[in-house]
Amino acid sequence: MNNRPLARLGRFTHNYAPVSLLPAMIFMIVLMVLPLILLFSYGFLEVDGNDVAGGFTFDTYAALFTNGYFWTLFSRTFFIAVSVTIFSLVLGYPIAWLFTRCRGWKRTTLLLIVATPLLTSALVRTFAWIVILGKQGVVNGGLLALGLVDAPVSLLFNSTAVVIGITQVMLPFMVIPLISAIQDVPDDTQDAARNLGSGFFRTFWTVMVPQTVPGIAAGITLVFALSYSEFTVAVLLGGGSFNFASIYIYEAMTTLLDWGRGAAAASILLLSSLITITLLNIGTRRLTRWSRATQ
Amino acid sequence: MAIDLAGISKSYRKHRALESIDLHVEEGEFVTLLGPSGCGKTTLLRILAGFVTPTEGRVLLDGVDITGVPENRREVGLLFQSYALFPHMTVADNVRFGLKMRKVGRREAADRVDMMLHLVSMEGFADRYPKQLSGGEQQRVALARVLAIQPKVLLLDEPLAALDRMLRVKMQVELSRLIAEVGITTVFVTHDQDEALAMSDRIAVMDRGRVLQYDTPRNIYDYPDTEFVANFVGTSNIIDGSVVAEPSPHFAFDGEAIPLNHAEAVTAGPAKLLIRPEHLLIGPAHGSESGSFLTGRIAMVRPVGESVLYDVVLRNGTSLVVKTTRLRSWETLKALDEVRVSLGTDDAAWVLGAQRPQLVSL
Repeated sequence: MNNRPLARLGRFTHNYAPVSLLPAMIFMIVLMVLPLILLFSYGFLEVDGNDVAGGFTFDTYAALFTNGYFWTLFSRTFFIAVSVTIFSLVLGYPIAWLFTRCRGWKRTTLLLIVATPLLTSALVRTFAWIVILGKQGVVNGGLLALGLVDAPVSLLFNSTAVVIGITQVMLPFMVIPLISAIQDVPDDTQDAARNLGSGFFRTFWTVMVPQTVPGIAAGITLVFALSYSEFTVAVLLGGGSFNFASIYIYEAMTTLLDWGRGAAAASILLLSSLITITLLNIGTRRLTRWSRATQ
Repeated sequence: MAIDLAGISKSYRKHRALESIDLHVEEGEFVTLLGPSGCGKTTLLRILAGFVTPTEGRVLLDGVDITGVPENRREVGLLFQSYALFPHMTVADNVRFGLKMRKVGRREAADRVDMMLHLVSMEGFADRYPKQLSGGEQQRVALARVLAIQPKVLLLDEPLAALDRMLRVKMQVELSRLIAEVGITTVFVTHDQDEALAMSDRIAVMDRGRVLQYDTPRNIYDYPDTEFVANFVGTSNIIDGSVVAEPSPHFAFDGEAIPLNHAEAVTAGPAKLLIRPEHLLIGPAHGSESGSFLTGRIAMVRPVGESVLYDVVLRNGTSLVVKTTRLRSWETLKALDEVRVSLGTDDAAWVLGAQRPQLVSL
């Protein structure tokens, strides 16, 4: 038996895996689960500012649900998250596919391009978009110079800008699970499809995509959950005029000091996100029944 | 359909994968490309399937040039080593796939799927997923899938390599039977000589991008042209020496001589002699039988299953392997025993590259 310290530690963590998980579990419970419970409870308590002022009440939720603006806000946030998810998938799939077919420096370059947004400060990245999308920005300059438009197009401080900005950050979260899903598809199945008479697009839709459904689902889940609650990009590229669920919550909490409303809105955001993800999951399980088939 | 490969070459940057291959396959013939890994047999098969474009040369199907036809328009069925079944489709959907691509009507497609599954005895498995099948069953579904499109030619890429030994032999027989039943022109790629010998009408033995010998299994085994073919197919004793015509035709090596009975087909001079281990007889050195023999000493006795192999070193230093049927008395000959080795039959010795006797020519 090897008795070097590292090996001993390895055996220890193997034999006492639950014990060695303890620090992480305590960390999670104290910093994640407890705050969440607090958050939920604030929505159901009479709150004055950030102090609990009274007992149980539905008033906060009732006020939110009867507020038309709140519905518009949440449906817009949902719509933007869905758009970002779709754009990430459409852009990410070819990138992931290309990645699995590249070797060496091409592969490294591609990964670097995709991962750069993750490694860049959100502020720098977002201000770069302001430079690009602004009235005097690169895109408008190009469009004007080419004579495609007469006046600058409004690309900034609206939902277009927000979708573009969030999609850029979300791309790696879509691409990475897709890469592993595409790598799992045996090349032979595509060759077999071609051999049986299927053309490129047919092969892609009927053989490639169905086999990568687990990866697509993972990517969609990640991107949707993250962009649904995205904040920085929404604030900076949305400008003051644009509202977003996370901004609404932030303002309720900090500017208006209405913790009850903020907590209720945050809970609704979290729950609606969980419900969407669960529905996605159920759909995915149906589509991938073949992978769990047993004798 | 008859296949003609005319001057097919394939280069990858510096590497020459195939060197001007000419090969003709008759209508309905079962031809095997046999060779070690890296010999170019799979490349040649993929050229036939259209996945690889040859650097030079043409592929003809019944005289029609299909070199430029893309792989999904070739109507050439390929059976993959990995079976390559679509894991997300049921057995029936897998078999139906090629029919859908051909826009075969729903009812006709269903009939043909049933027929194909019946052909490969997989009727009860239509609604299963590939994951739920054994290797042999997947293999049969893959065969049904490729035969369903009624290809002009069937290509098999080491389809039995992934099966365990018992099943492999069983599938050899079954595959041969099915292909004979369908009567389709077939090109089979393998590195397994037993498969090649058991299943083929003709075998092309390949090495380093060339076809060394293209002949019937019988001629490949019994009358190989080159040392490589002799060594690759079966086990061989190959002796360097020379053919001598006088006084009677014989093969001379290091002071020993082996009589030749097909000497009229051989020119005198340096040559290599092939003797299959199973064509040699071995006995105690002081036996009473007459006739010509060589004497030597047993270096090692190797009982391997149904036969016993004796490594014999002759007086002149030449090593020979002798293979005998394993009888219960096999231990009577031991290592270091002096032995006599003689030819089992008059035609046991074969000079490589010699002209084949008339009776076995094609």
